[in-house]
Amino acid sequence: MFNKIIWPILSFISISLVIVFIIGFVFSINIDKGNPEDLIQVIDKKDDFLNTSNESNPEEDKILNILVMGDSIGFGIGDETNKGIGKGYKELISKEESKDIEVANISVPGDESDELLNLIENKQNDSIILKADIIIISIGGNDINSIEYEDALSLDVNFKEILKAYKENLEKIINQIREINTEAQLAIIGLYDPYSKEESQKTRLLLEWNYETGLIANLNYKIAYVPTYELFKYHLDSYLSADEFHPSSKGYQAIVEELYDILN
Amino acid sequence: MILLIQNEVIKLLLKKKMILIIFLLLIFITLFSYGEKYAYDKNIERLENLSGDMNYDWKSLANQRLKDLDKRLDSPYIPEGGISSIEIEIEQLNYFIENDINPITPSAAKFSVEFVEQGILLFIPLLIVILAADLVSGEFSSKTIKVLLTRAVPRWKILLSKFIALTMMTTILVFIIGVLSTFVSFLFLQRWGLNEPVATGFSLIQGTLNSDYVVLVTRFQYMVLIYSLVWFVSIVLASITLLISVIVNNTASAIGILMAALISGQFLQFFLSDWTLVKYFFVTNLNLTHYLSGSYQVIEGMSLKFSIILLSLWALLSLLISFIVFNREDVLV
Repeated sequence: MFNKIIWPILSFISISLVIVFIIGFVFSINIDKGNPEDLIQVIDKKDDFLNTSNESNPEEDKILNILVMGDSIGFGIGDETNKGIGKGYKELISKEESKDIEVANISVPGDESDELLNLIENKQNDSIILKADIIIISIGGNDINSIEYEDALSLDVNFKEILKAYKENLEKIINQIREINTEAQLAIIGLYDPYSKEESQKTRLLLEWNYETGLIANLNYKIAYVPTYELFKYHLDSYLSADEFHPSSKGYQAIVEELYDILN
Repeated sequence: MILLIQNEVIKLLLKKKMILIIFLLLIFITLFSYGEKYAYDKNIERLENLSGDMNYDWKSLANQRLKDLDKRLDSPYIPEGGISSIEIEIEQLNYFIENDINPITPSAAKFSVEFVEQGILLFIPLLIVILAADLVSGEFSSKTIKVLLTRAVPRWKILLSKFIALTMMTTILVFIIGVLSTFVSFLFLQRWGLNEPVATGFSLIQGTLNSDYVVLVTRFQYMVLIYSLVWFVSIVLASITLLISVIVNNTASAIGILMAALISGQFLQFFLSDWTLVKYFFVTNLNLTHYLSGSYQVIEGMSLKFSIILLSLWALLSLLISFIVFNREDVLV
């Protein structure tokens, strides 16, 4: 019984299973192929790229480049006229500016601060950052929005964690930009409160957030902080677009004018 | 030689260990899959209460997320690595929407993978120890070693046949775990879920989770990959168990030593994660499956390759020492 039936079955099953498992094993080793060396190569390439493009092009000096980066507010979502911050600012300064003005927008709607950091650490965007004269950054709204539905107990703790990560990311973003472009004027757009209902705790957190952003901005070289909370507070009806979250064209206009007043 | 292996397999079967192991597996799998089903039902109930709707609507949520992802994909400025991970999430969501499956619904295949992922640290090693601990020491305890060694075969052949028989039974055991956990949990969960897309191939670069190399495989392929890793771990454990069984001529002590090693290894991970020497201990490296699912590593500097090489070294060394010891040992029973 054993020799004739069980033994052949057992040996057949176990040998075929061993083969299957060995094949699967080899596959799973190969699937985990993230090589740190690839990343190092990318970094090397970035350095090469920087060295070749560092000599400034004389023709470029005749153009004033504005670069907008960040989240949906940088992108201009909600603006019926599709101008957003970048083109709105261009209109404002074009009257007195003799140079041609070009606006580039690398904002990604929905981005949080770590995603913006990834974006500008990517070498693809180095050239666009390098030639910018004014860089407008709108970030943080999506970071803080993730705690919108927390209950009161966990709110404070989570807020502190998110704020800490945001501050680190923002500083890294600024350092990264400064590594590529040392002279551009930076402007960071503050957060406004799109929710009209009075909730003193969340308002306090938002103000603390803005205060920390302002600190980072003002303690660094050539960075302006553009407050928006005060602008929006009494104009929520007209400054917010139909989705009741993003600014309307009037809201964007208000931000742009504030930016203009600060920079000029 | 084949006769010797046959003989060892008969001995393993006659001890009825396999029946005990299958019995244990059945109990645990039944309990866990019932628990999974219960937790899922509770969860759905809670979500329905929360939305005030009788039919908890995951589809609109998934569609919302899909629209979000599409919008992000349109932006020309996100880095390439980001694009591929977004595309993978879109593909996954599309599958779930097309097939009308709520992504959080448990399935038999998912349960089977989760079961070994959880069990690879303690439960599966325990089963291997049950199977293998008395392989040599049992011969000493019952004094049958005399009969065995007086045969006209060299000692290393005897140990080799024991190891091959053990490898066969371990392989079959891993297969049985897979089959039982899939079929028993199907009775509770009522869904196979073998074709669901799974993302795998995460890697850690400088402390952050990198998803540039993530690929989509079906749940069944993923199962085979995970079970292959489990099989490798089981063979390594079987070799180490064989060593202990050769050195300690007493089954109870052999089991005790191995359990102590396994459990203390878990504690070491918690308390001494700063101490880099811990990563060279085999128990710390057992959790191979976590590298595939992209969970964070316990100790800096560990990767799938590191763990595999280290475990192989442990296994080879154990086998080497057990052969040397078994060849030279004085048998005084």
